[in-house]
Amino acid sequence: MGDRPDVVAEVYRHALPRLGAYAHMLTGDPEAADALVQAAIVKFGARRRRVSDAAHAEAAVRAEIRTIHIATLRRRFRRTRVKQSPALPDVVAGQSASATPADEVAGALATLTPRVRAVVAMYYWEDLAVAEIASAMRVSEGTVRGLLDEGRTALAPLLGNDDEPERLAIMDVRS
Amino acid sequence: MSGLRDGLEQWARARGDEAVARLDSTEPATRDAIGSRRKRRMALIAGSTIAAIAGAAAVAAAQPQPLTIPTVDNPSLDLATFTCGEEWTLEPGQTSRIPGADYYFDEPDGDWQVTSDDDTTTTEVDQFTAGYGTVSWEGELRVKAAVLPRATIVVVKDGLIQGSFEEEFTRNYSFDDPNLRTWTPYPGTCGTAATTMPSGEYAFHLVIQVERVDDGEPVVTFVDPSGATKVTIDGLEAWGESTIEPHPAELREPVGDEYQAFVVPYPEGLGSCTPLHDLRALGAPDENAPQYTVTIPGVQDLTNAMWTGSPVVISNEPVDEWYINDQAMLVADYSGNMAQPAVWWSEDGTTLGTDGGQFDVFGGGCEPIEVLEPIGGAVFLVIDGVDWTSLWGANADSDQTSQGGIQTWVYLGQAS
Repeated sequence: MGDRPDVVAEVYRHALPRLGAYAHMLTGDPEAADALVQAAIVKFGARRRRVSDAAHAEAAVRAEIRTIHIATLRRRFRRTRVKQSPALPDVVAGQSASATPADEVAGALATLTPRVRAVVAMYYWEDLAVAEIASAMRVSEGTVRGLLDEGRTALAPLLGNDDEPERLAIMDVRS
Repeated sequence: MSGLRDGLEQWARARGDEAVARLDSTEPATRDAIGSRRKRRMALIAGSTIAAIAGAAAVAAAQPQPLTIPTVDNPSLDLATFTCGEEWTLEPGQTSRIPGADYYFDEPDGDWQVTSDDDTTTTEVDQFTAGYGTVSWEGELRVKAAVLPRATIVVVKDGLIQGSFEEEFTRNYSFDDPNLRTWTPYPGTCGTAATTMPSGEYAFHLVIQVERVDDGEPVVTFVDPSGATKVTIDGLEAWGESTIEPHPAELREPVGDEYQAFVVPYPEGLGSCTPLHDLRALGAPDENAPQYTVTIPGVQDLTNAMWTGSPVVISNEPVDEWYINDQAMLVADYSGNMAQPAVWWSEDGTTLGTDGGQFDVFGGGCEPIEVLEPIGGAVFLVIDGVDWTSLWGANADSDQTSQGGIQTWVYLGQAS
């Protein structure tokens, strides 16, 4: 596992579904998700970091996905901070009888603001704690909780409520 | 059980399978991209080494493969005590503080890079202009036990320390996320104090100290684990004059629901639990800050009560403005011991306030405290965003609005 090309092959062979799913949940768009996964693998692959196993490599690429996406969000948000009503995707606007549950989930995710969607993805897919998300996004924990609540409210009609207690960080050294 | 979690996972797994079908064929292209990126990096590193042949640190950075970090005998460090003007004497390498230190972690590995003001990050820049970029170190340190990595970036010129800034990599350290990133100060930034330094080439050194969580004892100290870097920074004098020497803007009292607003850079790297308050103390908003007008209906009297849960805004109608979903905080010239409470809008968009005085900052990690003293002086609502249409007009385009890291400071008036 020490040779980086083999690591890239391992990522492609075993981790692609999970990385693709994560990127799709973050971006809400399959094309953007594909580009994000590729960018993360390239960034990871070019670093020549030591990796001990495939799980380590997957975790590193997943972290690259998160880092790249958050940086993109910060750029995008500061460029387009104007009053806007997020356009509903066609699948939602149509609400046709043929819409599948998957379409509906995609539609609901697409109605979330990018920051809300990112927080939902990090919390529910990457299993990060609120404090860890706050640290990654460089915002307060209160902001993360607010964004998470917004996402839950939007998704609950389709997917039900989240009755789990808030997950704590593995280690909060100041608590 | 969480129906929401299960539903999301089920949906996402199906999207992951679809992604495989699309991405599987991209592996050769990805390998090519990795190869190209590595070549660019190696060319840069080799070039840097020839240009700055000074020292083992640069040589170490030029090696194509990660090196085991050599053992050296650096003194035990208090990362907060690097003093500007003193000599930089540390040797690159690692110093174990306790027997069996390597049980706690793998060696750190990473790169220096330059991030421009639009968040574009590259390892291929060895020069930038102050105010339009910053140096950071990004890498990874995998921990195996309850330890906390802390770091200080030290800026050195002609062998003397000209800046230092201590930072925890992350407050809630996760075992499965080894990524680390820390930002550097500009030369002249010593802790929270700052002076203007001349433009020129500066060396950036990284010191990581891993401490046990339970007793705070240092386990190991790494100095320049991936080598130092040298970067030429232009425009430091102008940057210092504009940011260090305060030229506060003249404040204009509100007229009706219309408030004077300023565009202010995000307070990166002030190293404080109250970066906005610190920025105000340094003179923000500056007289040269772009200004525009923000409409906020229903702003209440500016008193202590806002700091402890009373709404800042009570509007008869739901507010429908650009800032509704943006993070916001309050800042006053004098605000006792609670410098910048976070505020947010109610779900119905009619009120803006705190949730009962909870102390809240950008990165968290600061202790909650009570308001003991009255607020006073100018009061600002700091919004993490800018209304580009109001600022630039309807023809605002992406080039005009590409500056990252900026906020709107809305002057609400004088505290009563």
